[in-house]
Amino acid sequence: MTDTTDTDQTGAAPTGATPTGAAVADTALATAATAAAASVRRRQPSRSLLRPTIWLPAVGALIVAGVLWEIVAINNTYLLPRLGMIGQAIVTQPSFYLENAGVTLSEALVGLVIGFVAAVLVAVLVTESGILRRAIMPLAVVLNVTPVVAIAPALVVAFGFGPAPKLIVTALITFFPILMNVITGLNSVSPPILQVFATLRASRFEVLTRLRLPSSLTFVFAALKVVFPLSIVGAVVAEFSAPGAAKGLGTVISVASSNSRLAVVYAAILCLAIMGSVLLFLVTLLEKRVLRWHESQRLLRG
Amino acid sequence: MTASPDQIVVRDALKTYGTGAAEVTALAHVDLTVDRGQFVSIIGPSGCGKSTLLRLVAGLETADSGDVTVFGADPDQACAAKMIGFVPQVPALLPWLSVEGNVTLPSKVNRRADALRRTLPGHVHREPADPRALLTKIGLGDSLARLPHQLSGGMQQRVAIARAFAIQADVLLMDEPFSALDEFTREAIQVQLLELWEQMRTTVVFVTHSVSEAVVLSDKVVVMSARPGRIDAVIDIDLPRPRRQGLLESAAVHDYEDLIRGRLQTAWAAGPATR
Ligand SMILES: Nc1ncnc2c1ncn2[C@@H]1O[C@H](COP(=O)(O)OP(=O)(O)O)[C@@H](O)[C@H]1O
Ligand SMILES: [Mg+2]
Repeated sequence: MTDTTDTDQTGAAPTGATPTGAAVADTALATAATAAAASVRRRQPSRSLLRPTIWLPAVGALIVAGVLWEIVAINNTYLLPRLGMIGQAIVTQPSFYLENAGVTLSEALVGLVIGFVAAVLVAVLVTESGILRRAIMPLAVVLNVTPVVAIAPALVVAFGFGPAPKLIVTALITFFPILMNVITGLNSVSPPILQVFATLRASRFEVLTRLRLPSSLTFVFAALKVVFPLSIVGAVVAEFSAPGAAKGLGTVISVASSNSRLAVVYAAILCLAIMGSVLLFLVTLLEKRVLRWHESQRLLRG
Repeated sequence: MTASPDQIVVRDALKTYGTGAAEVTALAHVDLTVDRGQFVSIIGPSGCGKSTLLRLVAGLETADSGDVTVFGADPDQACAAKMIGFVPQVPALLPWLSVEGNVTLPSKVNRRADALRRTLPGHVHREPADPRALLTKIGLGDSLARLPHQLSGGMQQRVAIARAFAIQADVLLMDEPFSALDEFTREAIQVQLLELWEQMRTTVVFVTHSVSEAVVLSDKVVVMSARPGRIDAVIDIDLPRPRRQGLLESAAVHDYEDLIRGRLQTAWAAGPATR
């Protein structure tokens, strides 16, 4: 990794630049793992996305996948709807999908915000106090191994068909990844830096706000990339558990599939996929702005 | 013993790590006196307790027995009054702050320090340092807005040194700050440190394992040896200041270097002390 300055000329792709689809979780986890590890790669021209060698493989794969889909769909109408039918379903009533997507999105985002705030607060408490760490961490771990999805029906029983169970599920499902990443991030300040500020007798609050929280940002973004898609999963699953009563893409899917309207099901799924990709794209964009200073950004660009 | 307000005094310090079979005596019977304004180097093989000694003075650790005073105050008070500037082996800069941001940050934390400092017996009034002027002096005047990762290792370490000078500490404790640098960078940065020090006259305790570095920089060189970590010799370096390139080639410098190498070898040959 010493002499990679000009690899771009041969079209070596910046693999991390535009994570899509299934690569999402992998990319995010890899980022978490390497967030602190420095890379000495140089920054490369940002216009590399415009080069055919960069976008052609992705577009090619997409076309191949589309063709395969059509081959299957033509012969098995009950397995997959034709792509044209999915498109038609959306085009004929765009406001229907937009409205339901809006509902799911807002459930996902509000739940995520709740989960995020709670996770950051708990992470700070747990890193600042040994007693609280020993009290809270076992609970958090138990919560993590409990399939939150399985709680959803019980929450519907308890809170009815309103937004409450959806927010709770989303918050719970996003809580743990954020918690673990923020804890790691808060502890990622290097010992020499802590020593310098220990000799200055910086207060614990100053160490927290000036050293620990900024240090955790790389890890926060790694967590966000995992958790944004996860929040949509949480919202959809909760909607599955409370069908009929409310709106949302999850509800659309469960109603449509019980009526065997496959095109509508896949249209809703397509909306979810687009929503997730857009969210992920926005997070990545924000990360690039906020973490300009960080070395892992150079790794991603390189 | 009355604590001297114009000296750093380590008296009969003992420090052990671990217990039972794994016990390591990092320091035993260590006595050290550093006068205000002096540049003192500590040299010795690795593992002889140089860093441990520095950490005791920095208040980062406490001695098992013996005592440590920093200009009349105990290390804890000295830290609370921001009398100590610490420069670790790696630059330890905050990657999200600019060069200037890194140098000014210490003055933004622990704001009660100045008031406390005035109440301590060893207090000497100093005007607050201008971080920009400091950075300009050390050759980073045109890099104020740059981020650490945009700087070379030598430049980063200069920022760390400027950061330590910026709080107008009474003593700078430097733990092998140049050991990761290549030789050319190291020599250049030594000269810059000397120039800065000659203007500021801050007391410096400087850990190194380079004999020539110790001679070039110091008023006094403390030779240590290991198992247990102890002080073998204290050698005054009687060379004129300012020390410039010409002087560094002179015979006197080589004599001192040979003297110190000799001491280090004797210490090494003598093996573990028996006292
Ligand atoms: N935190 C620690 N825990 C256990 N042993 C330590 C610790 N710090 C230093 N030591 C031991 O104390 C001795 C002196 O270490 P140190 O002061 O780092 O030496 P130097 O800086 O001269 O290389 C070594 O034998 C080292 O292994
Ligand atoms: Mg050391």
